[in-house]
Amino acid sequence: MLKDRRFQLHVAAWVWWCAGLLCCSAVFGAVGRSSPQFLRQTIVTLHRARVNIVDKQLKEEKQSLSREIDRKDFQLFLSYLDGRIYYYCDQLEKNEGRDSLADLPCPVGGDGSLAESEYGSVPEISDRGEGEQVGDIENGFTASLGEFDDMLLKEQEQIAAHVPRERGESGGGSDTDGGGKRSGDNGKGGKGKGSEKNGEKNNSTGKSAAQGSGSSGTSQTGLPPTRGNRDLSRNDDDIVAKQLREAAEQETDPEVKAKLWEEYRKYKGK
Amino acid sequence: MRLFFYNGIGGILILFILSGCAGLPGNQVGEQVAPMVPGHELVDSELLNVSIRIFHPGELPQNPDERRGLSPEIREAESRFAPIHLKHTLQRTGYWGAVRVVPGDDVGAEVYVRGKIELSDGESAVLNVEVTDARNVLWFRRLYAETARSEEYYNTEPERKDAFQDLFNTIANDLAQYRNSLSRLDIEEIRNVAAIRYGYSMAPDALDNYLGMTGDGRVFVQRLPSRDDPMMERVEMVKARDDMLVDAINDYYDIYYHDLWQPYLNWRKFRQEEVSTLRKLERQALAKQLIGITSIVGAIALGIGGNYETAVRTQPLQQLMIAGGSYSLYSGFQTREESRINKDAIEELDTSFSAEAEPLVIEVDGKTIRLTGSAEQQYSKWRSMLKQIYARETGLLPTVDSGSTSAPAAKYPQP
Repeated sequence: MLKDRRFQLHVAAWVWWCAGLLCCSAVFGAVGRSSPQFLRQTIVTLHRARVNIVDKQLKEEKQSLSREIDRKDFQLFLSYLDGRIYYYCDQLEKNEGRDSLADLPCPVGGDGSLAESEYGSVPEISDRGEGEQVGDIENGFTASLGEFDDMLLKEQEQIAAHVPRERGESGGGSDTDGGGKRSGDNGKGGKGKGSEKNGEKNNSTGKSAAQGSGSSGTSQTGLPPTRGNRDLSRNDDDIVAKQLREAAEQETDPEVKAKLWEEYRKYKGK
Repeated sequence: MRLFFYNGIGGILILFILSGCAGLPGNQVGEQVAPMVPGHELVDSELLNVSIRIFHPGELPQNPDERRGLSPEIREAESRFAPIHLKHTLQRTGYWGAVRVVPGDDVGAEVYVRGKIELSDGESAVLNVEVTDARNVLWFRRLYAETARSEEYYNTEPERKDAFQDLFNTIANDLAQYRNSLSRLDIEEIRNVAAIRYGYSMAPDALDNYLGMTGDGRVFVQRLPSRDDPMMERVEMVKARDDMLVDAINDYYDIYYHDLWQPYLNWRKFRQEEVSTLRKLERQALAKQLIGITSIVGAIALGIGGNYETAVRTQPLQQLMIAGGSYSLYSGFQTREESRINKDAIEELDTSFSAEAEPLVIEVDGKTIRLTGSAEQQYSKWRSMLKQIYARETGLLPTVDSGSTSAPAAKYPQP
């Protein structure tokens, strides 16, 4: 039962990680997230991080240092990295064609195009039972939730960019706020259990979002509400942040190291 | 005597016609209806989420005069505007959790509000509102009618005060009143049923047999999933996304609402003024024509009805009555001509508003369809994944809706 709970906590951490990536995606979007150079660099970086943590894990396995719970964390993180690598490879292939995948650690089929099946090749650390298979599907599920969050984030950006219509002839009395106010400015009671009593709006996070998922209360942007407030303290590193930090600390290539720290900072909400 | 008789009939006829304003169906809501607010701030466990479905636009009046200038485009615009304004009204009361407008059926709704516009011409509105909860319990189905007073078109404010605010407040109060009659257990059951209903739509294999249904269609909880049921948690993750999606749709609805606010208010205000003037002119015209006819008929009656002496004695009066009657008739026709200008103005107003509202409706519908369409693809994918997880975790083959990743057939259909 405790193991299950921990596992669920890791899944929850995962959702945060997806949300972090969403945030990164939003930032990258502003600086050319779909440029081939960016995509290649990201694929290489993530692959490098993956290789490093696989090496580390294998060493620990040999030395019997790895506990069951660490292995699960590892699988989660690894599957996520595979998912992201696949995602960027897919973007690159769509934008630049299958030739662009040459020399990149993308999971390609016999014809050189991106394989359609699972994300990349997750190394076999040990015998994979039903639990691991479920874990893989679960990881795919979580990654898919992350992609959906990404879509919602884009939608929120579009909504935020909406320019209210010019007011027509005024004939409606006081109409104090101009009639063109966006919903995002109105306290968004729809997201919350908040109410407005005595003229004050309570913008508390909504029950639905909060109860909907222990890990995914929502803010205006669709991202978990506390992300932006988290600091860079090592103490509150969740499993993904911890893995990112370790990967960055152990990385010797300055370029990749810098990229991983950047990912870490973005994940931590700074 | 006979003169008074004929003129009396004419007068009664005039009064009858002038007072012949057709009543609205349903109960006219009160004036200055204050919204109910709870006596204390409700805690999370006492709150229910509300889903308001986009209203049915209803049918336009059959009578060409009543239908004048109204268009399906305007009705479509109103069928989105009204639920959004109701949402804002409910949100401010403090009785509810998340209040959302939904474009279609909402399988996970805790409280589900559906409405139909029975009548709306800018001056009057009649809404047919039905409220049910996740258990399929009908809270109420009522007709709400209001004819706005001209002063109600002033001092309006988006989200807070519409010209028909009394009507919206009355609906909100009826909802609050019913909600107050629920026990904590009822509220808990509604929330549980809603969560499992949604869960069943995503993972029917895993969440089958948690709910039961009575012969009359009432859904109840047979057993609850464990608090840390992993499948339920996954479903809750999806539900959180679904809520976020609906929030995004609501953001678009709110943009639509605010874009429409001023032109809609103007349309209703000016239309009310034009219709009011038109009605006044038509009544004047009718009254004048009737007075004219009555006078002429009276003069004739006076001429032929009495004896010769009376006829001779009242001849100047008869001539005056005929002249006066003729003038009244003529004046009545003139006034009727004037009212044509108002009719044209109303039609012009409606055409103009219709042209303004239609693209807004198309825009918001386009965004909604795009979002729900792409979400449905995603939901199918998630259903498939949850099905696989369930099969692997339990070693059981999927039994419900096997092979399909679309939403399962409605095992617990909404009423």
